[in-house]
Amino acid sequence: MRRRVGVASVVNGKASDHLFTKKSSEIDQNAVGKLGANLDELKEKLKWFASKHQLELQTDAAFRNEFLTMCKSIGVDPLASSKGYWTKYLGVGTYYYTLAVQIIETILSGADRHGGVMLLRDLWIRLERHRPKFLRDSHISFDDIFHALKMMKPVGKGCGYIKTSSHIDQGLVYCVPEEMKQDQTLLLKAVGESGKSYFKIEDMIDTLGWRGSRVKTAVDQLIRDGIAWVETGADATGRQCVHYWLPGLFLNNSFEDD
Amino acid sequence: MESIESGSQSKNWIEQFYNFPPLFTLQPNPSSRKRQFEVWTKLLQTHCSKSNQFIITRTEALFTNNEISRDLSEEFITELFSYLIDNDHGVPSKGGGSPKPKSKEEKHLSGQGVDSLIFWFIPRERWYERLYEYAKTNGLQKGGIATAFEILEDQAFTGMDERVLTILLNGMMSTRKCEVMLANDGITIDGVKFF
Repeated sequence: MRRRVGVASVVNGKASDHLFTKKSSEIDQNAVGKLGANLDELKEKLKWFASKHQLELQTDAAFRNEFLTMCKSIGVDPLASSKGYWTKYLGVGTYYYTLAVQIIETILSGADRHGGVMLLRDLWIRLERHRPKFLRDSHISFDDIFHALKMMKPVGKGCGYIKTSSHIDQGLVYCVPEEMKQDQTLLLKAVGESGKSYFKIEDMIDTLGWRGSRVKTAVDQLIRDGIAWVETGADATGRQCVHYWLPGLFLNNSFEDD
Repeated sequence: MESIESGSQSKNWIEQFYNFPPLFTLQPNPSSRKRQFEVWTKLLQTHCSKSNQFIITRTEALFTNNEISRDLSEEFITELFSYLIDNDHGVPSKGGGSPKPKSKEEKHLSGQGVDSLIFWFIPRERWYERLYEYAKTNGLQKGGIATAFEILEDQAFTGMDERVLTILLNGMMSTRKCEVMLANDGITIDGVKFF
């Protein structure tokens, strides 16, 4: 059967469109209203939960991590917003905010030695050592450090973690005044993965598959930032050669300054 | 998770730095170079205060690290001596007592041609204090007189010779706590009067 073509059909169609729109906005309003009520309830519950477990949140690394996982599974990330509701009521934000500040302070205090790049192991040892007295029985976990670093993301690309092997603690944490550029990050990663604290330009050309000039540019930037030091010497055959060293990997930076 | 103890080595970081090969190459980055000289100063201070060593020569044992087979070049030593002189950590052992006036146009390095250095392994001002302590202990602080020989006998100045003492006392005069009495040759100290 052919469909009717004519004015009536158009008018009818318009009318049903209108009905649909009306109904859908009704549904929307209902849903939003319900959602709002749900969200309020969720907020209340989280608030209650957080205040009840405030002590555990501040002192128990495993509990903190599970709490964050739980939040994530319901689509809430208390670390995503640095101010406002979550920080204010959940306390967990405050914990990571404080830790983030400690991480920056710790790395910068040794920056004249390592340029702002150090092993996660060394950073962790120093953070543990300077834990406030009243939290002496509680520990900072690597996850805590990662959460804190993630929290600093919005501030810029100055802080981060570079994974170098399956040993998480052998990875590099950096904190530099401006930002760590991609090539420098890749270069540091490659050196870390080599398991050594030094390298030659030629090594990195092979490893990274870059042209010499690209490696050199990245190395020069690391030198300017005090992250790499230069050593000129002779190899076994007496030929002049240049090695670049990373004090952040070579030195045990878990020591205090003096 | 590993314990705190297992992560640390027995060596402190300044000792670790001594085994860091680039410490023996002049760094192109000015702030790393400054850091490098600060480390060398600390190393020399630790080394010299252990044995009350006041003189550093270009063949100083510390400048060769046998463990990692690295040593300092002549150019490096000249730069290091310049740094030490310019930052009042030492004076050329053959020059007089007063440090060279620093002028910005001067390109000449203060360590150039310097074969050995009198090195203050503790700051000069601390030596002045020790000398004045000596005067007080011996009741000389109100115009009393001591000879260089007498001062050098004291345990507080082990390792010091007359040349070093002369430089210190000449410098100390600016604090108006002492006055040096020179012998007829105008160089040797006959005695020193404390106030």
